[in-house]
Amino acid sequence: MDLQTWIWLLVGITFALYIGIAIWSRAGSTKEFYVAGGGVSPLANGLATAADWMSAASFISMAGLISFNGYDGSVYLMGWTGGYVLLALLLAPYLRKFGKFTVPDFIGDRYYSNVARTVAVFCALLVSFTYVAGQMRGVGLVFSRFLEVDINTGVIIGMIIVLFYAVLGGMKGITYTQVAQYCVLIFAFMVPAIFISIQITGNPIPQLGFGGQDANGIYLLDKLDGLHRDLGFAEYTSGSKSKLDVFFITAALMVGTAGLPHVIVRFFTVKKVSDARKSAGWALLFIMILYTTAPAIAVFARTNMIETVNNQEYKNMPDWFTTWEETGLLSFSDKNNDGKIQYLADTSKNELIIDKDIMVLANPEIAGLPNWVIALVAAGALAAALSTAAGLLLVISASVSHDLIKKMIKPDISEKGELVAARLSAVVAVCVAGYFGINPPDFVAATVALAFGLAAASFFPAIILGIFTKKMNKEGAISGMIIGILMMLFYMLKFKFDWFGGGTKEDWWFGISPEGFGTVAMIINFIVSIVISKFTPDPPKEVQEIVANIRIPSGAGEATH
Amino acid sequence: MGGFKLGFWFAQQGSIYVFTILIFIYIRLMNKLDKKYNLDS
Repeated sequence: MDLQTWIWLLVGITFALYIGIAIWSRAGSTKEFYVAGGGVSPLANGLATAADWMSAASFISMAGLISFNGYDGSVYLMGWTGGYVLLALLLAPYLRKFGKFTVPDFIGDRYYSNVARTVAVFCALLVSFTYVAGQMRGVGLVFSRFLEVDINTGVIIGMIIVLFYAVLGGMKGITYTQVAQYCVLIFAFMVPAIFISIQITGNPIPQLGFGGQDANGIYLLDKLDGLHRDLGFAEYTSGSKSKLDVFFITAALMVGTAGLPHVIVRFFTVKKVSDARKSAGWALLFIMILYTTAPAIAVFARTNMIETVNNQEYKNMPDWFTTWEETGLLSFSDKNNDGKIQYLADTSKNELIIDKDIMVLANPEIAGLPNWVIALVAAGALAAALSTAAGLLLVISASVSHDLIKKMIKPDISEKGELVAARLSAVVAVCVAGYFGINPPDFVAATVALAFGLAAASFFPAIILGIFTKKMNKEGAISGMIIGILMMLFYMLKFKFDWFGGGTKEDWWFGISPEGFGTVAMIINFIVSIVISKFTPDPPKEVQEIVANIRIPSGAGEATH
Repeated sequence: MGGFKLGFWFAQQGSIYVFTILIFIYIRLMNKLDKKYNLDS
């Protein structure tokens, strides 16, 4: 069978599966819509959390990012997995015991204040929208490259599928489709990795393979370091970032991961506190499989790519080279007119520009793997993007229908009315996300990584202090959140978008990059919250009792309004 | 470890294994604690 038939077949089967699950698990009540009825098993929740978390960025972009940055790319691996340790130890069990539907719900009730709730809703929407636009873009990219439809048509097809199962099934539908999507995406990620690992090193386990030897008995990593030296790049296995910056970026990514509302809500879907702990463990185990394979793929893809293109005749390039050239994600200009491709670190002589995002998608083609493997990667990338998009859309719709409408604007809304409002806001959210996917504002790409900084600077301290200190009051938490997110926005706008006079790398405060600044903003948020709470009245007795109560793991009832 | 530099291996592999193990140790210890004080439901 040819490639196109394979792709349509696999993408079609997986889509039919998702829709089938959505119809089977329709949500009938707000409780089913927001937290899947609260009876999800820890294993299923772990699988769903892994799919929810691993987005188009993890599946498509991360290995490419590591491939181009080498050792410096490690911050993403450590940051995006380490966050789960914080989640499991500091957040998930306590938030589950608290027993609410959403993160702003926790903030609003713990800080007995609708101002706090509004600030939290605003932060949740800001983080979720920047994130979801990136997912829709990923869907469009896969469709345009593999199904040869227009990138906008691709985004619209993706919108319709997500709309169907997120609106119909709510959290219940999303949970079970995410379980299926995890299976699809991990299979799609592992199969090419195993194939290529055998091809290059003879070892079927990619995690071991990339430390192995090639056919000539040379260690793969030594070979890649050598290639990098020859072409003028920094050595693959040595870093160029400062230790301090690496520390701050990793910390921001970890804390941001733990503070992402769409990840936190997944822990509200299990029956009891110990299940929340267990599902965090399962989630990281399932995430680990992909995250330890990604650096192996990065090394294989980098070596293969350099060896295939560098100093080769342009006219002898394989098919994939021209197909990717057509998408504009790969471009070649023959600067010295010798008909050969020179790939060099020196930008004045370099003739090949490769977008990082194509490394995973092009990898099976570069390695010459069979058509069904390439089709599988397309289906897997779609699963990764759709599962995350659905989780984010649910957070957005719950923030609007539950936190804004039910809790603030119209408290007497009926159960049925709230469910309709939730579905309607999901529809609106999909359309907005689709619009940003089709017309991506320039800042989207830059802000997806920064969404973590925003989450770290706003939610994390408010939640942690809300759980671990009885004395933290609304004045402290609100001013901390506002100052934290404003600091982060200021630093990001100044150094990423040249507002407030702009600035270059030399002007960074203490040499900390905007990606790592979330940690600084978080620390400031902590300090501001604590200082202000010392000078303002203690929270009411009932709230202090609630805080004492969430530390006792037993007796977590059903999640309630 | 074969062709890995130690620092590189820990940054791109080891740290992730350590994180996962940490969570499972925590789950075990907490479950034990819950049992000790009869808080497991």
